[in-house]
Formats: sequence, structure tokens, C-alpha cells
Amino acid sequence: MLFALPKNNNNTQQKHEEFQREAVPHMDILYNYALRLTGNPEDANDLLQETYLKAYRFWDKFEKGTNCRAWLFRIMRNSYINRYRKAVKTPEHVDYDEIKEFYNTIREQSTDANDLSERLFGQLLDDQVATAITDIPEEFRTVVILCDIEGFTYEEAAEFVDCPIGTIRSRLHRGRKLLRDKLFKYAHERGYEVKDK
Amino acid sequence: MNECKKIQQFITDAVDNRLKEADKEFFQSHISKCHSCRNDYELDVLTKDFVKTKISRQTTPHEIASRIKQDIDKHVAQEQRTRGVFAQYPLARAAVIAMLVFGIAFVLYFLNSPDIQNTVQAADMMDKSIENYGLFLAGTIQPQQIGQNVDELRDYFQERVEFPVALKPVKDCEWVGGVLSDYDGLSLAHLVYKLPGGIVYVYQTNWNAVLEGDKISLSNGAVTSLNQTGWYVNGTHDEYSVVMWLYNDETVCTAVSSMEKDQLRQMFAEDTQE
Repeated sequence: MLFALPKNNNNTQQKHEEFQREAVPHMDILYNYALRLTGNPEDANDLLQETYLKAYRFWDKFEKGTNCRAWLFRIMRNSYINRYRKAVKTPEHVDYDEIKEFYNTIREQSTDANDLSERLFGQLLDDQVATAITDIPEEFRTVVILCDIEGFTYEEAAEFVDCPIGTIRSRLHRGRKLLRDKLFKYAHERGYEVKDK
Repeated sequence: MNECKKIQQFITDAVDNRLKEADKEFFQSHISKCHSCRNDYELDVLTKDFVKTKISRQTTPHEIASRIKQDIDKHVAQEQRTRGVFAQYPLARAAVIAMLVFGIAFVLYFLNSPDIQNTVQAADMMDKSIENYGLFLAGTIQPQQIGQNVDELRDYFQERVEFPVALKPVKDCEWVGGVLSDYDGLSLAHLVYKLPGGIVYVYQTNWNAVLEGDKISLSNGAVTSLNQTGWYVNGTHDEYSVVMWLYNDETVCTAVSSMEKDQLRQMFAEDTQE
């Protein structure tokens, strides 16, 4: 037959119900990922909307019984990469030694984690931390969001990103360093009190 | 020193409490005497904890959640309407099918010319590539632009297509030809490399359009593999090999040739990088 005949309404109904049951409950986690990925609510909304529409259109391509959250996540990540690829940031030079030296100094004066954290990152606001996250390249950002913010295990993150666990580990290692550098710089640049004496 | 190097590999696992029992003691005893490694470890812990306290979990704004639900409902309603007409009026269905069949016969009759063949139904990219490879071999499709190397085709493609065309230089290539076609508004780029042993044909189009699948589509297996690895190699053909890959995440390319599939893949191996 040349064309598949249109199927009856039951199929549409069934697809809709399945989608409501399996895909819609993951909306919050995807929204948070979109928010951390794009750094602002408007873009996050657009990305979320695009992801759900695509997911609905391709619902018959989702393998039933597999991880729906990871599937949705991959759609979102691909959409994001396609959309913002033009604005890919090249990692700038990062001077890890500066932070290390600074930390070495303050560590000699204190062992209290809260105190050290405060001296390192000052009084950065939540928004500034969110901006620092969007400032690191996507491959590292995604892994930091998944593991450090969402609290996924390496195994779960590996399924989401579709890469080996070793890759998650090394991206996380690098991602934390990059992020730490951003936070430290922000804390200094913005003139927050960072005590080094 | 060597020990420090080893410790560096353990830091991430240590921060996330994933160290194996056997490594824990080694790690602890090292950082208790090496300040540099201890500081690296502590800085990661501090960063992780700091970020976690600063970033709070949000819920999807109500209006966005309901807008998405409305979008989906709209989609559903649309599907039902189209299907409803067919279900209620079998005659309408018969008429539409008859018209379509007639239309295709008509189109095929006139289009069965030395042009790149299109059909009305969404065509499978793999089938199309193989078909076009045959048409190139037979000389039915001719390149519009020919150059000694791919650089000479750059301008030809650049001005006419909206997706980046992969123009990979190929060793020992005698000449390379290019031609563009339009498939119901979707641009297709065709490249043909003439090598001493035969030709390599490369079919390229917009990846998003293929994902949408309205005009050109791909099997689920191919889409999954491309999404996951950037590659898809089809091993079911005897006389020729088919290799697909993503270029710049924007373009999907399919190469068909009589050479071995590994060799064919190798030929375009660096092409996936930006």
C-alpha cells in the first residue's frame, strides 16, 4: 500500500494518555535543567516548550519501557545545542594557581568550611551563581548541573548524556574547576569583601 | 610526585563519596601529608557545596505548564479532526486516496526524467541515497559544478543552501562534482567524488528537517545511532556501503560507494568535528 491509512481516534487518545502519564511528570526537572542551561526564564520556557512539542511529535519513536526522563533530557539538550550553537563559548584561559594560592593562605588561618567558603566566594547572590554556571562550556555545565545540582549519580548522568562514566567523571572534575574559577573571579570583580588577611 | 598524580584521579570520586574501600586509606593518608592535594580536594568540596546551597529547585511556572498542555491538546485535536473526516466519510477517504494515487502516477509520469527522483511520500534518506548513487553511476544525474577539489564547490553551495555543506577533501580524488536539488522546499546537496576505483556519492540535507520527517525521513535505528555517536553504518548491502554522519550537528550526510564501509567511514572521519 502506498500510504498508511489514517488510524482511528483511539490511537490518538491512547498516545495522549501515555504521554500525559509518562512524559508530563518530568516537566519540573526539565524546566530546572533548561533554566540552568540557558540562564534565564524566557529562554528556559521556550526550550521547555520546544522539547515537549518535539517529544509529543516523536512519541512513537520513544522505546516504551526505557528511561523516559533521559529521553526527554536528550531531546532538550540537542535542541539547546542546535539553537545556541552559534554562540558557543571558547574556554578562556583559566588560572587555577591564583585560587590555589589564595586558598593556601586562608586555609592556614582557618579550618572552618563555612568561613573558607565565605572567604573564597564572598557574598555572591544566587543569580550570580546561576550566571557563572551558564558561563562554562555546555559539556561541563550539563554534567555539573546533573551531578552537583540535581544530585544524579555518575551512572544516571552517563545515561542522560549518553557517554561512558569515565567521561562524566573527567567532565565533572574539569567543570568544577572552571566553575570555581568563575565564582572566585565574580566574587572579586564585584568588589565583595574577600578577606585574605 | 607520582603519588600526587594518582591522587588527582581520585579527587572527583572522593568528593562524591565514590572511592573504593581499598583506595580510601591511601587517599586519606596522602592528603593528610600533602597540602597541595588536600587543598585541591577541599576546593572541590567547597565549590560543590556552595553551588548546591545557592541554586534552589524551581517548579515550572504554572502558565508555562498549562501552555505546553494546551499545545499538546491542540495537536491532539488536529490529529483527531483529520482522522475524524476519514473515519466518518469512507467515501472521502476513497476519494482522497484515488486523488493521491492519480497524483503520484501523474508526477511520476512527468518526473521520470533525467532528474533526481522525488516521491510525494516522505522518502527514506538511505533508500534515496542508494537510488541516487545508481543514477549518478548511470550518468542520469550530472553534477552542475565540477572542480579539482572541494574548495572549488564552496561558493556554489554556500550561496544556495541554508545548512552547512560538508566539503571534505578526499585523497587521490580526480575531480569532485556538486549539484543541488529542491525537494518540496527542502534543499538537498549532492556531491560526487571521482576516485581511481570508482565514485563516492554524498547526499546531504538539513538534520532537523530529517528529524521532523515530513519530506525525508530516517529509520529509528539510524536516528538513535546518529544522535548517540554522530555515525550510522549500514551493513546490509553487498555491492555497496552506506555510511551516515552528522556534520556540525546541522547537516546529515550519507555516503554511498562500492568501497569497504570502514574505509568509507575513515574517509569522512574528521568531518564530524567543527
